[in-house]
Amino acid sequence: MALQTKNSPFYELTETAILGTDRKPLNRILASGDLGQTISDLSLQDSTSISQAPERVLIDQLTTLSIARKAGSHPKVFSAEMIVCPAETQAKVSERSLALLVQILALETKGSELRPSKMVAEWLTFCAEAEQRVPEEFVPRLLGLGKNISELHPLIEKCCGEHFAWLLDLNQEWRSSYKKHDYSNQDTTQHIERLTNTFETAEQKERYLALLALREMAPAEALKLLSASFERESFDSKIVFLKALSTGLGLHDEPFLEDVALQDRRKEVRTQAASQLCLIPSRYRERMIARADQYLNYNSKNKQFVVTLPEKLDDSMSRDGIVDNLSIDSRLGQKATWLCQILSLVPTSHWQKKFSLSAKEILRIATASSEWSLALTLALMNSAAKFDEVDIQQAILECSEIHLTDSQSGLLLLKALPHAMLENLILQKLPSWSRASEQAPRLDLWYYLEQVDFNWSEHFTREILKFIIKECREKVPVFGHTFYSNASIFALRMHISAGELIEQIAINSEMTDVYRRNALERMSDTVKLRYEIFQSFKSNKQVSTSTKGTKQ
Amino acid sequence: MSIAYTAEQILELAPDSSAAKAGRDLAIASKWKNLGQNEQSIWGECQGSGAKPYQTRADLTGPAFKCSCPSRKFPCKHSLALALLCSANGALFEEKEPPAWVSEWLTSRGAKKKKETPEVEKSPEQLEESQLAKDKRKQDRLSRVQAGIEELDLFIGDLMRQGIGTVKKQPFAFWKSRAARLVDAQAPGLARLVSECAEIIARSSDWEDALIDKLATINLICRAFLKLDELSSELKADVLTAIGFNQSQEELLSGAGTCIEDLWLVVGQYSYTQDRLRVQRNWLWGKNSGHSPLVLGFAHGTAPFDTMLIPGLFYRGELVFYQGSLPQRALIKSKCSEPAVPPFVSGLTSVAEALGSYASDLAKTPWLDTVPFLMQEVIPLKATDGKWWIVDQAKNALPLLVKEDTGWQLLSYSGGLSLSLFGEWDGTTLKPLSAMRDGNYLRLQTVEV
Repeated sequence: MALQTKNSPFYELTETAILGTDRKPLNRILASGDLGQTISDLSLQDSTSISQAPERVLIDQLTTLSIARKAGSHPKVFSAEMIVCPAETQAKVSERSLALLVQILALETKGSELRPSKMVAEWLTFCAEAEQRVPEEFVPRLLGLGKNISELHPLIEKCCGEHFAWLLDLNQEWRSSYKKHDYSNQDTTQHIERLTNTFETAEQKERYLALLALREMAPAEALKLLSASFERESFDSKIVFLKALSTGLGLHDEPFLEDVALQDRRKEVRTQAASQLCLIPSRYRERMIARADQYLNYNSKNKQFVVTLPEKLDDSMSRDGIVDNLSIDSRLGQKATWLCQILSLVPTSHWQKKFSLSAKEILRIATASSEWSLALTLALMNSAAKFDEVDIQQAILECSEIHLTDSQSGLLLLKALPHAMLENLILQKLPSWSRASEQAPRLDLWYYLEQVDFNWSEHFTREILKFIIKECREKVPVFGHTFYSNASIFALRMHISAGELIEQIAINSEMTDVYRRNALERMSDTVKLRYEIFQSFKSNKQVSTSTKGTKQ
Repeated sequence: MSIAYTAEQILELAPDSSAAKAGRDLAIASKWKNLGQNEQSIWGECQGSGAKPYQTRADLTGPAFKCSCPSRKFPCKHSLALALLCSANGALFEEKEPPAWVSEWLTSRGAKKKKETPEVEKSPEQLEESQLAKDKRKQDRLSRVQAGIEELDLFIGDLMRQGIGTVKKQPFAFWKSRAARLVDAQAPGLARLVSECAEIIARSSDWEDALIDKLATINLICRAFLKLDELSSELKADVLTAIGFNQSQEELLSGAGTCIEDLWLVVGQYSYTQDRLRVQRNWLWGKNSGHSPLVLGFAHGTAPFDTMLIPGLFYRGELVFYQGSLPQRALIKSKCSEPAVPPFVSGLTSVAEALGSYASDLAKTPWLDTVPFLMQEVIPLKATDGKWWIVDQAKNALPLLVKEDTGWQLLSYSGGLSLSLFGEWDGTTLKPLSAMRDGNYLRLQTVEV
């Protein structure tokens, strides 16, 4: 290294090697010391032989130099003191738990459908509950894995012990990724300042997270910050940032949403603002109700709705986020689509009050009014999804004529339903789905479960597993493509107690349907793996508890 | 009782990543029945796709495995899963007498070990004749090598005349064809060094110095070969080994090589592929002797390596060293694992001592490729320029050749405190292979160069 620096007398040798002796003649090296003498002597040896050729002398001199450089290298000296990680107080996880973590992390590299981050999150949850930590050599891997998954950050912090903060101090990239938790020790003012700074300077995703965090902490500050920059934002940033206002949405947001966001040139931005405004008792909601009142009336004599379609999409409707060519349902005409959009933005409770009808009655009349029943039903489903009104939700679920999976509005409602209500809906229908007859209802079970990503309750998990166990024994079980392609995902959503029942699923080599067998195996393997993780922490906890007992 | 190997150690034995994954997936108690163990072995039956379950057994002293499944991989996924299951939850394995299919296998393994290949007795005339033939073959090869080296000498001379700056534009074949000519000249060791020149040039920066070093090494070996008769027998052996002459393993094992018995820690291990041949480098460290032999393993495709060693484990046994002025490579004559011994061996205590030891090694074998360094009491750190170092108690530092992930893993493992680090030193950087602290061993991923 030092021998070949520009100031070194030997640097010329390297230069000659790069350029070649044809272009740069080999000069005699004039350097003192043993090395200089040795290199100098090389050109004098064998003066009568072919080896006196300059290229031969050069390679020999370079060889000497190379050995001298390797043998005489000097170490670099560091003077800075290393900061030591504080001693860990938590116990390490057991070998068994750790082996299971390694197994899950390996799934990540395989591109598995299992979405390992969900399993990692579960592993970390058990680890945090057991008040244990991952061995220090695994901490960087977890920090790297969770860098962009903010949901994992608190769990990683809990499970990495003192090494978490220590490594964050040493790694700028991790520090900025995990900074939300890095602020935990700071006071609110400092926190707000740093979030504001991030929003003003960072990339879009970080800005969104900063705005979201600020919104949770100080909704007015977040609104002020967004208002200040809104006009300069790109169209997609505006939509993303407006979504952040859903947290802590209130009347204080109305001026901004009404006067700024709803006036935007882009219809997508206006629609997003409208969807926020209709959730608060705003001027917008009043306008929309007044508009809807023009188009929907009730004839109490013949117990029918009287529908008047909007003649045209005027500027005020357009400004209020009603879109000209929105694709709601191909069976709806243009004007019916406008009507459907308007009615979707009005809570059903308004009609209940205005017409003195129950939610159930409104739905029955809507589905019965032949000409506009589709538009009205879709609007009611949209409204039920948006305003979270239990009466109309329950009425729709009980209505045998409505299939939630037939329309986007139905799916929207399905996803908006409280999980307990969805579970009840499925459990009620479960016996009828297992009927192997022509009268059996359409098998929507697996589709429902595919569409809604939620953690199944213990009772629900057990009932579904019992259903699967029973169906496995049937000649024509009610499995299908949707089940086959989601088996592992279902296994991830199940309650951990599924591990107690999973053994009862009869999977054997005689099962002729390979797709079914594979799906059941995947589901079974995933549940077993999760259960094993759970057991590994449970047994370890028992061991440590009993050890503690002995010590006492 | 559970197996003394950790899950990571067991997975080191997997022939490839898919076998490791499949092994992990199968390591679930519900997939197994009739699990059992005794002092020497573990066994179990795993239900596969066939009607009969696969019978899987492992001899823990090796370790060695056998399974009735038709997989060509070794160890198969069932073998790995059995060991993983035992490592994770040994309570599942009932202490009992092994069934016949286990005891028969153990007996046959024992018999194989004891079996000695009977030497076919040769008459003195036959012996003389075979020695003459051998000498002639060696002489013929030396002549071919000499011709190859003379050609290589001209090639290097051309490079020096035209300048190494011109080779950056040369295609890979420029070096490959030169290496192929050396293979034809029966000098595979030199051929490998020439091939490495192409890899050096492919690097984006700092290739000139590295290329000069490599050409210097090649030149040194060539010059030494041309003066072979003037060298000592050890140095002669070194030169021939560097060129690619193999020392007969049979001869070494039958007394030609120095045999050392010790408790050996597998202190570093990594593998790479060279011309479709998988090569595994196992660095061992003698607890009592302080020797650090290199045991090479070779395998084609997914076949298992001929030597099965688990990093971080001690083996008691005899190693036979290849001849040379700085005996480094060794053969395993006998081994028996000692998983209960915590991984600790003493090594070099300072950077200055390490560099001094390297310089004296270079004096003995100037074309030395890499040497093992076991550095004690060093702290890993990341400098402000982003490079990784280890620093000793005197604040002297050595640069590390390490992947970013591995650097952080090492740093986290140390917690800012000192640890023991083992790696290969090539004269400019240390490639870390493992770290040890408080009786624990951590294998480190190596960087591909």
